[in-house]
Amino acid sequence: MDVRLSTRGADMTLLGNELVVELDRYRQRARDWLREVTIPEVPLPLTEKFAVLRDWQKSLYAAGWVGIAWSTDAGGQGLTPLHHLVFTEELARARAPQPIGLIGLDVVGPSIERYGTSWQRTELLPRLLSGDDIWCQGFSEPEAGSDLASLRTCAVIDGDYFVVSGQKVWTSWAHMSQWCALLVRTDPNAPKHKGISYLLVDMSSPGITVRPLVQMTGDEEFCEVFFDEVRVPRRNLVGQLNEGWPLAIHTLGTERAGYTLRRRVDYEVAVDDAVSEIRHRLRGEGAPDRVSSAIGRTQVALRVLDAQTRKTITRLADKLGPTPEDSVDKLLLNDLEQDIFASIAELLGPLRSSPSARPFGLNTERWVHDHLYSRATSIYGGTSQIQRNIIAERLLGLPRG
Amino acid sequence: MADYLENNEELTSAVGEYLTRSFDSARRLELFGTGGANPQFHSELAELGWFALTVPEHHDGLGLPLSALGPIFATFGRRLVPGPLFESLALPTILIDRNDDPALAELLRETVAGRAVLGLVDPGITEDWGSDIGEIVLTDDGLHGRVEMARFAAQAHSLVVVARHGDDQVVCVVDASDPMISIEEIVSTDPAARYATVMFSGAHCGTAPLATGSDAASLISRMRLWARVLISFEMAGIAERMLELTVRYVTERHQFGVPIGSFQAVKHTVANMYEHTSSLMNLCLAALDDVPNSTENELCHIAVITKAYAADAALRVCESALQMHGGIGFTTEAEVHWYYKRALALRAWYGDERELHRVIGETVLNPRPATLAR
Repeated sequence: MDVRLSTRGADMTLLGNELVVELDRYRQRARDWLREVTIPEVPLPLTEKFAVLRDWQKSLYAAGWVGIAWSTDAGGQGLTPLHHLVFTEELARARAPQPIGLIGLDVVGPSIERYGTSWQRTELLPRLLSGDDIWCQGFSEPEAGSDLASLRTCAVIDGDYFVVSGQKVWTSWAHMSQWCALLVRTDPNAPKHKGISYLLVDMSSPGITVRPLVQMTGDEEFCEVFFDEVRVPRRNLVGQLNEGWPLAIHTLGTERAGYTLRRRVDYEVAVDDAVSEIRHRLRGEGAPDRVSSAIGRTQVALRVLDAQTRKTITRLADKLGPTPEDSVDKLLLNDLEQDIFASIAELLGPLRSSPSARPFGLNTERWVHDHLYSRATSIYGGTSQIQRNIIAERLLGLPRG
Repeated sequence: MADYLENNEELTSAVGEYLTRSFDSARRLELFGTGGANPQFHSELAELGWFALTVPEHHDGLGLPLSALGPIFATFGRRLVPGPLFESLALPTILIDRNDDPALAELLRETVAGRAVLGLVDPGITEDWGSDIGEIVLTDDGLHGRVEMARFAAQAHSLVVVARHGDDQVVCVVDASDPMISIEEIVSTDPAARYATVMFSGAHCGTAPLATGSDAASLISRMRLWARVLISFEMAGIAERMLELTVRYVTERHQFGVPIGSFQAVKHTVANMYEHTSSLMNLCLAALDDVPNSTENELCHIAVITKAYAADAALRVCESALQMHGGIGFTTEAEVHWYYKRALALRAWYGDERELHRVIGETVLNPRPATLAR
């Protein structure tokens, strides 16, 4: 397959020769390891898929391929985000799956690593990396979506504990998780951004009820989570009391930039699969114009995302932390993911409704699923509308309305 | 590499400074009246040494790589500089790279000095309108045929002609004053270029074609590759300027007692303009980044992809700029319309997104070595 390797772009020339040589060596090590290891087949049913991927994460962790850019006391390897990206690319190139605990690894983990106490980092993060603990992110609520800061789930201090009550929603993998990074209101009288705290909650605590929601893809990936006087030790507070909002912003920014990097690799694998399916059917014959045009669109989208992520990598390498530029990445990612999967799915035509059909050689069931899934992109992690507000106000300086 | 980037930045800002000094809006308007065909302006640029930037040092140029022109063409886009710029800054270098013929070297010297203008007669500016554009055929008694549109052909002293020769392609350089060539100027809506129809009825192809067979295919690919990359940069520059003017306008223009930029409907449009502009510029820069480590075929593919996105993204940015400017944007009182017309002219020159999506898909789905350059 032909995964375009963004870490090989010439922005690398700005990074210094030593690092470039080191990254090449690292890439070779990753390739050697991936050649030796048995890469798991991923079953479709969610529970089995989850079990297989969790074992895979354990093997990856044992070999030092998880938490690559994390500090060593948190169980990581203490290398750079570029090393992490190199490995992600090699994983895709080897057709190996990603580890399962991505919410922990890419979204909430980096915030705990940055703002957590020594106990939180050394006790919780190694198990997060190894896949022993799966994490979810308790942010959105039924009445607090785009207006996240209006969240109402509350925590009241009672001795050495917080007592948490309320409801979260769209919590991906909550039914499979051992831990949750939870935003709660700890001061109902303060302005809405000033009364929020960031808690780490053991999902086996009494009083937590999880109800999976069935998505339009048929998957049960995200859930509603109900908290009924759940007792959470005070040492599970990240950062200061009532100062959780900047941490939440950090988590969301990390998600936006990190997700763009990782998803780019996923799309390249997907488009490559579609191209193979079509070529297999064509057997060297020329493709109909409609098919060529659709595949052409996907190539443009991949290349635009590749070019964009070269900038993201430079930001990561400079350790700038989340910036409003992350919103540009996320907005572009939304548009391009939807463009890619719509382009492929449109080649299914009327056969879209027949899961076993193979129009132009394409696997209908898979492309229908991926196309439907792509509609979530412009909603999760901050809707496209929210990203546009951020770009207009914080990057272009337009007045707040 | 870092040195080169730094030099390039200096170079680009030197170009910007000259334009600020000597290319104000009154002069630009005057030049638009001539589609950029202005001998005075042309010789000013030649004196500044712009045409020698990428010419090899042994031909008395500065020997910079062609990629150094990318950011400069973005500046041309931002300022909407008219004239035969690709034909003077890039084309001579591309020709001489492949051929050290003394007559060509002489022609090149004249071009770099601003005493001669090159025109490129290439029917490959489009595939989808191929039958409208026409073609040139090289036979035993010279060049025959007609190409409906070629830039600056009526101003050119020499024409670089892409012709068919049997099942093959050739590149010829001909004297534009050859009596067997007739050139008819077109009144066009592109403010920054002049166009002409060129007809050949047995014109002489110099002593011999400049390139034949696989050499010709490679030369043609290289001309089209750099045309696509530099047009994309120019369009990225246009998009940047449109975004800048729009941000300023929606901040200053008040309705309902507030700047219109405080309304979400306006904000979201402008945010999309930023998304498309910055991603287009990043895409153009990525193409330059990949030049040193890519094969010629890979670069051609990258250039086609870049141009496909430029054609689409820059146009959307221009149309949003028009919309955000309201009625004034539709008039000649504002400068938006010049940029829009230029973007419309450039978007289909060497392929718009619909044409190029198909080309890209064909390349990916059917990776057989193409015999003819695209």
